[in-house]
Amino acid sequence: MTSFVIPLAVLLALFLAILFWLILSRQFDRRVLKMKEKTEQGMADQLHKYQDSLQTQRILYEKVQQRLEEISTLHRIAMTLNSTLSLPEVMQQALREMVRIFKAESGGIFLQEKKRNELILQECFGISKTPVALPVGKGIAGIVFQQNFPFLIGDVESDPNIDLSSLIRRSIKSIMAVPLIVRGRMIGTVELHHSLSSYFKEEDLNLFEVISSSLAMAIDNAKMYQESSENLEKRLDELFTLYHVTQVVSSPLNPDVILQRLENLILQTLKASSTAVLLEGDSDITTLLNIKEFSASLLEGVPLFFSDARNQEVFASWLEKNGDVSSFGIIPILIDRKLGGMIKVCYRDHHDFIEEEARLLLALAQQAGISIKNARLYEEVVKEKKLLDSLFTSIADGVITTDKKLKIISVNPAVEKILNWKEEELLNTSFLSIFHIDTSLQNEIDESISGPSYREILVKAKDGSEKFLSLAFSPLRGESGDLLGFVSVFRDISKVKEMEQMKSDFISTVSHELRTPLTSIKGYIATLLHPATTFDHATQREFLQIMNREVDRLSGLISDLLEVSRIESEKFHTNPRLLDLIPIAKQLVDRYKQLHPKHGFSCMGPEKVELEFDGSQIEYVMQHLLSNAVKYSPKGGDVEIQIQPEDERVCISVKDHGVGIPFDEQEKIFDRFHRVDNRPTRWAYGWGLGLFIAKKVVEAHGGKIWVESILGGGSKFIFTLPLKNFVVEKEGMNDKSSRHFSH
Amino acid sequence: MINHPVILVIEDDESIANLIKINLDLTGFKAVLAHDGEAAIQMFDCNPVSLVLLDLMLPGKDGWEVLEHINAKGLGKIPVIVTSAKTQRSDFAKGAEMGVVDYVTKPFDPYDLVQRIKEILLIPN
Repeated sequence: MTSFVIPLAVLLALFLAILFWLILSRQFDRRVLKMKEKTEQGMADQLHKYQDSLQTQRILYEKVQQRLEEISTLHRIAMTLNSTLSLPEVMQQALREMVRIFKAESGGIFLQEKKRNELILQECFGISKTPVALPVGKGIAGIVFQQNFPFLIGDVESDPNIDLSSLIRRSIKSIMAVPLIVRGRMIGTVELHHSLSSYFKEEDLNLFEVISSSLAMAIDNAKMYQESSENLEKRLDELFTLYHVTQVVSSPLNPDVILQRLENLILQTLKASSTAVLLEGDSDITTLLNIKEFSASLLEGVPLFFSDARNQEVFASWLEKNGDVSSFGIIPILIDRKLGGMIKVCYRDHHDFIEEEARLLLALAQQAGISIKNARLYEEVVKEKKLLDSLFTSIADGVITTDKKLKIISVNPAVEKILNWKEEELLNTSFLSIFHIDTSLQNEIDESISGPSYREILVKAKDGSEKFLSLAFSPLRGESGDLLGFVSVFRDISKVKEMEQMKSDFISTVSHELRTPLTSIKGYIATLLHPATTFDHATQREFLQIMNREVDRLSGLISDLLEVSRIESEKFHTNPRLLDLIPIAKQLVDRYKQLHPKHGFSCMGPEKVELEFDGSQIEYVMQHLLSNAVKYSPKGGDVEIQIQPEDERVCISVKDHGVGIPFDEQEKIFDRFHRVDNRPTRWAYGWGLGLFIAKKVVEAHGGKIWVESILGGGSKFIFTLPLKNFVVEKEGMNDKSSRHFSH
Repeated sequence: MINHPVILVIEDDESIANLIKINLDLTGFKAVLAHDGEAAIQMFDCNPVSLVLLDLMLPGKDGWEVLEHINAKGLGKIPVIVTSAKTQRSDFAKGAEMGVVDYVTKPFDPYDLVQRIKEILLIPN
């Protein structure tokens, strides 16, 4: 049992203990509860306080958050606005950002158009962009702009201020609109829309205002940038145009081309209806200068611009000629400070000339003046150069220019003609290698000659022939007197020299020929007059006959001289009459037969050859040819004369069997003063006068004279006379029937 | 014929040649005539000539060539008088250079010519 008692006691004790603890703890709990209640109350208070503080903190946080968002929005917007300077981009991005921030459905930016005092829709979002222009005071934008006050409209329909027709979107209920102001200056408005009523709140409007002021600033900046870039671009354009003008106008040197290009440029750049560059002497210029009111200005180079051409009565008559013109400009072109032309620019439609255009036109006129002047100068220079060139090439004298070291730099065609050297063979060669000029000139060159020096020099042409040149050698100096080179002008005086030699020979021959008969005459007279001697009658007579013959000879020579002088003075003329050639020839042959018995004379020809000729002149020719034939066949021999009529002429020939004439002399013997040089002088052909006279006589009759000869084999002189009005007796024409009329 | 010196007259003009001959004959000279250069040389070579009267302008060889021949013969002593219508200084100079004793220009007085010959040959009048 104990076993039950003990546990039971224990249990009882435990129970009692528990009961006691329970009583005790209950009292404690009450106290605790009280305490607890107290504590809980405190805690609740605390909690409440905490909650309040949390609320405040949350609000604050939200506010901070909002502020942050606003700041970040503002920052973002600022960044956006600053990221570009392009006005459309600024407006487009700002508007998008605003729509996003305020969760609007659509929006628009209006900017003021000052001139017409309108607000133009520049950028929009959520609505189709149609051109919208609102007068100030009309529509939301117009009103906002006019009142310079932000608008927040909860319901457009209930707002009496709103003219529904002016709304840019039909379904709009809420509108938030603010003016765009920069430094107190209104530039436009910006607005956002939503289709819910009272969508935008007051605080939205505040932020909207702040953002808008940034936008306004950005728009202003962009505008300023745009304007300044536009200005810059315009200026660049202007500069480019001017550069273009200079290019276009100064590259060609033909004035017509310049004017044409100028006109094209004006048409392109200024979009004028018509333009013209008028030059001095143009009737338009005369008309314009006759307008008293403006002539002085125009003469002084002052341009005239008229936007309202129709009101300019003084120009009425001028304008009539220019067709339909609403606006026009006249820009004088000054050349050397004098009016040299005008540019006229006409517009069919009204055109206000702006400063840039005026500036450009003035620049064009100035450029045109310079170009025209240059072109004229160039034309003159070209003309002068052409003249100089043609002078240089046409001049008959040789002209050679050299540099300072006498290297040939140019030659004219005459040089080639005179010396046979080709231009390319002479260029860059030394002047002295061609002209072997004596040392005196070389010395002069070394001493830097001051003026021209003249000399006659003998040079060898390319073909080896010697040429006598009269040479003027001068220094070639530049404007400042510095030596550029030398210029030589020379003339071929070989012929002159030859003539001089021939003249000198001629004089000496004449002198000789005159002295020879004089010697006989004087000698025989002196002999007759010899004091210590007397001659019988027969001897005296013989002397007198000799003297008589010599006097005849002398007078013949003098006649020849006079004849030549007549021919030279052009007083020579023939006196043709219808005559028979045969008797004249016959008489001559008879006389020669008597005078020169060592020679045999034969003559062949028809009975009669009648034609028109100067009897004495042709007789002279035949006589001279006979005389030569005798002279050049000193050992005697036959002299044959033949008269042979041909189709249209008669050939008269005189043939000897004498010494002959070298081939190269055969043409020259007919020259005045010429004598065959390599001959014994007394046997030369006369004095060169007889054949010269003969040639002139035959040519004056329309005939020809020439010689056929072989050196040592005799000569045959032939001359022809035309058979105009001739009469030939047929029977004598053939060889067989022709007979010698003298032998 | 000791006192008849031989004078070679070289002259192509027949009447002048005859004129000189007449005057020489009258004075007692013996004239030998030649009408051209070749003949003159031949005459000179074949005759004991005391003096030569030389015309310059001759057919064939001219007077200067004849003079050259005379000088070349080395005789040197035989005086030569040029009788010419050539009156240029250059001819006078050439004559002097080639040793002619006198240069008589045409026309001349034959009497004076003979006197001159006498002087040269030291023949008293």
